[in-house]
Amino acid sequence: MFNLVTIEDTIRIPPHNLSLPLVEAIKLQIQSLFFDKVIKDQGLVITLYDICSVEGGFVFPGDGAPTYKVEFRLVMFKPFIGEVLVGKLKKCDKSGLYLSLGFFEDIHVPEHLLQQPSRFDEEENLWVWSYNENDMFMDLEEEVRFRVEHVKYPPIPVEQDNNAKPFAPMEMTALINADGLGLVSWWS
Amino acid sequence: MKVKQANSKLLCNFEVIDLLRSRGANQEDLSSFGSVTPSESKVYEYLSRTPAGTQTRDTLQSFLQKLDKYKLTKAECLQAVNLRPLSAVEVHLFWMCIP
Repeated sequence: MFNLVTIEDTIRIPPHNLSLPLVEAIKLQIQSLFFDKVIKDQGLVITLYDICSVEGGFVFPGDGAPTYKVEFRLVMFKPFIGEVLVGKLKKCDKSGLYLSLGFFEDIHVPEHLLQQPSRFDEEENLWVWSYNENDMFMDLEEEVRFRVEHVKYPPIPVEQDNNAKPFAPMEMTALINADGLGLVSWWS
Repeated sequence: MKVKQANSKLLCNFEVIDLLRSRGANQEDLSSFGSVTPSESKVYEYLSRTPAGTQTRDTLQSFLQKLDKYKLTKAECLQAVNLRPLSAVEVHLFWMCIP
């Protein structure tokens, strides 16, 4: 679910942070530049693991701030294909389920990857798994265990409709059509 | 920005929650209040509700020693630690070829 990525970047320390110890100032800068952002194909940045090296301190002509070449390691949220995770059910519609981990919300379980046979209950707006003629409802806010099927990083759209859903830089497709997957309460 | 090494190391949930705790994500310690970002708090909140919230370094070490004889792959070990399965069907989710 989490892994480390080594990154090298040039970090500019703004003058108002120069009174801080250098490492602290660099940490603050990395925090505002990277935290809670998605790096393409690497995942979502969770936090800073450590700073490996700091070089330079060059002041460019006409700039009142030193620039350092910093190598550091970040903790990334990057689930591997086939990993089993537990999330909460946030929304249901005809296309399937939308799950959330709290810090990451773009998880979609499409209709064809639900437990078979499942049907959509129009009145309750919920998905129902008909297991041995029992109706197993998938209520909102319930914990759902799912397997990662696919993670994609769509390119930033140039133009977007006014009523389009917000752009997500990292989207996960999940499946729950295997034994042990689905609502956690089903299997306990 | 340059990515020097893409997958340096896999971390288990416990290692991440331990790191966030050391940054002051558990709100009990008021001296470090405000040093964690809202996104970090959310990750901490999620992880504290998983088994990682109650694991310690010692229990993990003894657990992994006991797993040794089953010759699991790294990913399978990671899943066993993160999910802490309570029933056979949960074990079957990440361990495909149970002997």
